[in-house]
Amino acid sequence: MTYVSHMIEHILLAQLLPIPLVLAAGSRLRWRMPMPLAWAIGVAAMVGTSMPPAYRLAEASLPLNWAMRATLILAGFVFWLAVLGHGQAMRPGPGAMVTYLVSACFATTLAGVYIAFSATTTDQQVAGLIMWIPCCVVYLSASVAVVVRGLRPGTLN
Amino acid sequence: MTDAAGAIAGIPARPAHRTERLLGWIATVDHKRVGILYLITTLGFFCLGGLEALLMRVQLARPENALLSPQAYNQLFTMHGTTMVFLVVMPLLTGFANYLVPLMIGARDVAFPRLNALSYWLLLFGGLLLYFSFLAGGAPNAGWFSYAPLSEPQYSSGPGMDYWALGLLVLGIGTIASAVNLIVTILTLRADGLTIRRLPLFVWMTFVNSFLMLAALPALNAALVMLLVDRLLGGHFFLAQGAGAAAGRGPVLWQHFFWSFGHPEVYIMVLPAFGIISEVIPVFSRKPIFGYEFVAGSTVAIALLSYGVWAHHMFAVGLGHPFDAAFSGASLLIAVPTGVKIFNWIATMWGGSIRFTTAMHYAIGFLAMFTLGGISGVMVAVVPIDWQVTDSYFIVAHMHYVLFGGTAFAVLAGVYYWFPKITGRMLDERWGKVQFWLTIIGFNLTFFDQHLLGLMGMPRRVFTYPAFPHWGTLNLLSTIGAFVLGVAVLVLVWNVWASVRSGAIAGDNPWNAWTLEWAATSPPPEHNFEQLPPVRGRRPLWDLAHPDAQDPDVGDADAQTAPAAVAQTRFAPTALGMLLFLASEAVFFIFLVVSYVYLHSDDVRRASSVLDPRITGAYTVALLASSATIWMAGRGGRLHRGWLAATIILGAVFLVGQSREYWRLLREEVTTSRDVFGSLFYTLTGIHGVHVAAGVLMMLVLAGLAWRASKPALDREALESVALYWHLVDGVWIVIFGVVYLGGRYLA
Repeated sequence: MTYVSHMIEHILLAQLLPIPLVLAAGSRLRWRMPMPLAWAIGVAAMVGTSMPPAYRLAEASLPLNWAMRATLILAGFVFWLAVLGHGQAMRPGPGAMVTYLVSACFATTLAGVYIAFSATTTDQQVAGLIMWIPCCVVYLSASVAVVVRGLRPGTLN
Repeated sequence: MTDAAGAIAGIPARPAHRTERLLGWIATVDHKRVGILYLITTLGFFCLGGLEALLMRVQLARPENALLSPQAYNQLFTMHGTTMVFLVVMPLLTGFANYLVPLMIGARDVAFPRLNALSYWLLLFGGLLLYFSFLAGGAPNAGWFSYAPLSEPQYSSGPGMDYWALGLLVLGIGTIASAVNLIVTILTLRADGLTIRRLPLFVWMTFVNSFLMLAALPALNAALVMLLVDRLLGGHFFLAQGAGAAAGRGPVLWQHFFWSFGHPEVYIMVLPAFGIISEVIPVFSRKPIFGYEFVAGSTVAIALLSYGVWAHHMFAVGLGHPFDAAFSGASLLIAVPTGVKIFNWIATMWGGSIRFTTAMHYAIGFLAMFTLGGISGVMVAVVPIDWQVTDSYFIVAHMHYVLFGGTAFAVLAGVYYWFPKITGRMLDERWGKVQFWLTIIGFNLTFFDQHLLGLMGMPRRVFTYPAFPHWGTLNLLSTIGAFVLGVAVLVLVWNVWASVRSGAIAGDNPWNAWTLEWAATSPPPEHNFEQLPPVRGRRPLWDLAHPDAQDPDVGDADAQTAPAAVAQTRFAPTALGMLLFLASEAVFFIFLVVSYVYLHSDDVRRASSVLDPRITGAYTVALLASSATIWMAGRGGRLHRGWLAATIILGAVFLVGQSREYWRLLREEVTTSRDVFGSLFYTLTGIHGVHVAAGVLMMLVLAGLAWRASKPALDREALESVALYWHLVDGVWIVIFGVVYLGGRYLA
């Protein structure tokens, strides 16, 4: 598998797939993880499994690759649960949500910059750029949605 | 200062001695006076930057002109760009925010009035430092983005670049201070009922913009520090030396750092202008803004995207197709939220009963001109078009449509709109319209032709050109246009001068506007408001005047969840301000660490073996322990003097350890000028060391205050702020130690 598809998989598994899962099941969950912990788990999984050594490990061992995929889905679920899960009353404020999402974007951007600039192959370069821009666009779109919804009249009443 | 200037600030008309009045202005911490100082200062720098532009246009009026030498021309375009960006547009918008934000949120002043005054004086002296270069042996001459290696001492041996870097560093620090100030003001000092979702859009955009400044300016500051190390200490950051893969990395690093500041900077210069437009258009269309949440939300989208697009300034560098494609796509994406705004403003005017005041003229002019600049921006986001027109007059035209057609038009709309509030007198409308038509004709005559010149291949930044077909004619037209613009500026200056003295009396709310600043008298008294109207929606003065037709409720349930509420319960203003400052410091250090990783090579790895991680590791333990002791020092809401003393000692131990290491390395002739490693090592650890020393100093002040008090009374805010700072210093050290002492050996 190429590095590029490895990275696209990350966006699908850790960023896009968990969103409908959380929206469907999140409101039934009663427990709530502290935001900094959820952030650390989500970002660590995203960055950790994207770095060149992780890619080489995933290439070398199929079971390890599946373990990474499962980790990504779980960590993505935890990450988005803190933002999108629970009833509205329990959700953090828009400011906290935007900080949560934007700082995640900064962290993955730094990782993407590293992957892209330390690349020796075009494959790795494109993978880094995918982590840098499309991956960030997911966080940013969510931030903008949070802001627009937070400012709309009467939504929280 | 004249009587007129005194009248502007609304000082009581008591006969004061001249020097006393002057002192009143110099020593002022009133946000309105500081705001006026900003506006007057930037007007002065605007005239200087404009004169520089006129000189260049005279030189370019005909082919093969020899009025200016190439050297003088280089200095002029460098100073014109630097002046207009750093000494005019940014501080002008900061000046507006200074004057208006507290009034618009119903506050008495900004959160940190003295810091606010400091920001202004840093602007003035930073600007003077930059202009002093003319007297010190030549102004900077490497263009406003000072590409390396042209800015390196080998190619710019005069002192001009040093003044450029130092001046900009001073300005950058002032800008960060005012961004912190504005954010804390908006989060903690809003009037009752003015929730985040009811903020006037100018305040909202200033708020978002301030975050943009906090994250963008540190990138420039880091690059400037590195440039200064290169220039003054013989460093090797941006030099095109080294072998193999490392060759040429330095100059490209400067471009990355500069543009990762420089592109957000474009939005820093335009977001507050969007805010002004979002205030002016509704008032003169007699309609509330269309799609408030989309105007506000798209601002956030623009701010966030602006960090991901900088390399579109570098398509011609040869980063490779993957980079170009990614950045082209991201740049095109930014047009979406910007377009959303344009449509919202047009929809606000749609069906409104438009009043064609001068301010509205400028707002409509803004819509047309900024859209043109935006469209040519989308064009150059496409890589092949950029390759064709980069470094040509097409870019000059594009960027002036954004910054003059966009920001300057919006600022002029703002000047005509708020002048009555600031001075108590109306700015003459007839002269205003004369000025508007002169401006829009002069502007298009100057810059539209430059699109054509660029497409014909005329490069920017050349002091003259051959007599190719049409080049002379188009350049002459452009020069004539520039002089029409010059006349327009004179009309404005005359209008301001005459109106301050004898303009019609404005009254509190001459435009029947709706936001809180119009509830104060014109000009407002020093304390701003006698009494604030109740705030139930986004247009409090409309609600006040039309009790039966109030705006729809925009909800106050967010009082529990808004960031402000969080901020007010969790952080005192001082600690919140410190936290924001630390965020910008963190970005600054991230850039320095990134430079280490980026410039890493086998040579750096070999050179870094001179370090001894074990000894430094011992001092690291001391530093990390001090994070625990400062936590103990503030335990239980009391100041424990013993723990504070322990923290100071541990900090001092770390500094001693660093000094010993420096001493050892210097004896082994490891210096900043020896190689890339030397430059990286001393810059990272040195700047961190300065931060440790500053922290120790702050704790000594705290200790001194606690010593003098009979009972160890605790200034909780002060201790909390110092503790936050100290934790950041420790955290940064963990990263530096990891990368420089440990990771440096294993980095790929």
